[in-house]
Amino acid sequence: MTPFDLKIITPEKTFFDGSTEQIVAKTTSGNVGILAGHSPYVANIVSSPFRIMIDGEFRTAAISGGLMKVSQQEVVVVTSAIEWADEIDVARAERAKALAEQKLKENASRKEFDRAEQKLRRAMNRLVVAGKK
Amino acid sequence: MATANMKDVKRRIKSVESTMQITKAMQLVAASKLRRAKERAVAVQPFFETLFKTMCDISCDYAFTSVFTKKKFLNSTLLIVVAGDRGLAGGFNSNVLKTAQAKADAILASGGELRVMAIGKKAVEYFEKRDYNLTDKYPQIAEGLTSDQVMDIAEDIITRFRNRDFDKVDLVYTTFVSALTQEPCELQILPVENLENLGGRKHPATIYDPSPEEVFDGMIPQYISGMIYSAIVDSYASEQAARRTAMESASDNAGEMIDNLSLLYNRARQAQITQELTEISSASINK
Repeated sequence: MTPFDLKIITPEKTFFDGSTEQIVAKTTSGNVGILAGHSPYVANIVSSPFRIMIDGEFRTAAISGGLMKVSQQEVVVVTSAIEWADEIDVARAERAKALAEQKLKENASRKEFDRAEQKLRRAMNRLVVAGKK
Repeated sequence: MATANMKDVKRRIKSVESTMQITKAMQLVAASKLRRAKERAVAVQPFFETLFKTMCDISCDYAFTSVFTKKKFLNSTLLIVVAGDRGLAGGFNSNVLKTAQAKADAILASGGELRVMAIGKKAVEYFEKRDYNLTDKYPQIAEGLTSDQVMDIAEDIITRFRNRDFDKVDLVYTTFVSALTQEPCELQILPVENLENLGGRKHPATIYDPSPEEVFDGMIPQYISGMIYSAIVDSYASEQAARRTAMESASDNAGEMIDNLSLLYNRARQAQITQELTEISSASINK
């Protein structure tokens, strides 16, 4: 497959800057695969596994919400946090999940409920990608 | 010159010396923290630029509207103030708090409602002491800041913005100009303004999934968290730079003081010796 350039940027660093053959991301309207030569496309990515094909093999990372911008020359992904599957801090994710679940049970205010739900989603996503759930 | 005076001077020299040791140490610590903080402040740039450019693209490609760009009747403002967690940083905290105070007064004077979100221990203390509507406190998050923490803050702001808790969000923080200059500055976060129309850079063929408006609104959490993140990181770098400068001049002053005191001490010692000699010689003459 024809490779194309991919850049993944977080506030802390440039997470990935190299070439890839295919990416699969989950946007607000479902899973989207991008190949080389895709027409200009912009979409929001939701908390999900993010898959990047390098040398015919998919590598998976846990992404927690962001933006994907496909242009003629390259694909740029901006996100607040992303980790490779083998870099995920499982213990921390488990803790975050337990904490969020407890919050949800406590029947807190609407605001806190929403926040806890978001946190739970992010923690679950990390666990799924890490293969622990 | 009596011996008591000499003892005093000696004690003062000792105390200035130990103070100088502390200020020297703080200067070195601030210098090394500054290096790391500067790296973080630079690293956030590409993230923010990409987001902002995309938002500009969307806003000029279509006749689009968003709740986040609409100017409403501004009667309620959330003021986010970013200051340091510790003192002893020269005018760093007082400068930024003065700017924040002026901003807050201006809002109140124009008859608006004000809510304050304080980031950093010094900001929290300042607004707690005064009679302001301090709704959120985030002390001591700057040093080990993660994007998850900021995301929480951003989501909170957006929820409340949508609930019409406030219709304008302003940010006051200190920006790092150089190692010697740091300037307090203010920025409007919501409604989003200054989306430049980058003339001639239209991409009419771009597909926005599902729609330009929804993509734009979906970017807002990232945008706000990016903005707050870079403000905190920027302010933290400024704090370290200010502390380094302040401690450097404190160490210099201490050195100067020790020199002066040593001179005074030596003079007193010499005077005492002279006096003793005079006493001894006059005693032998009188015998």
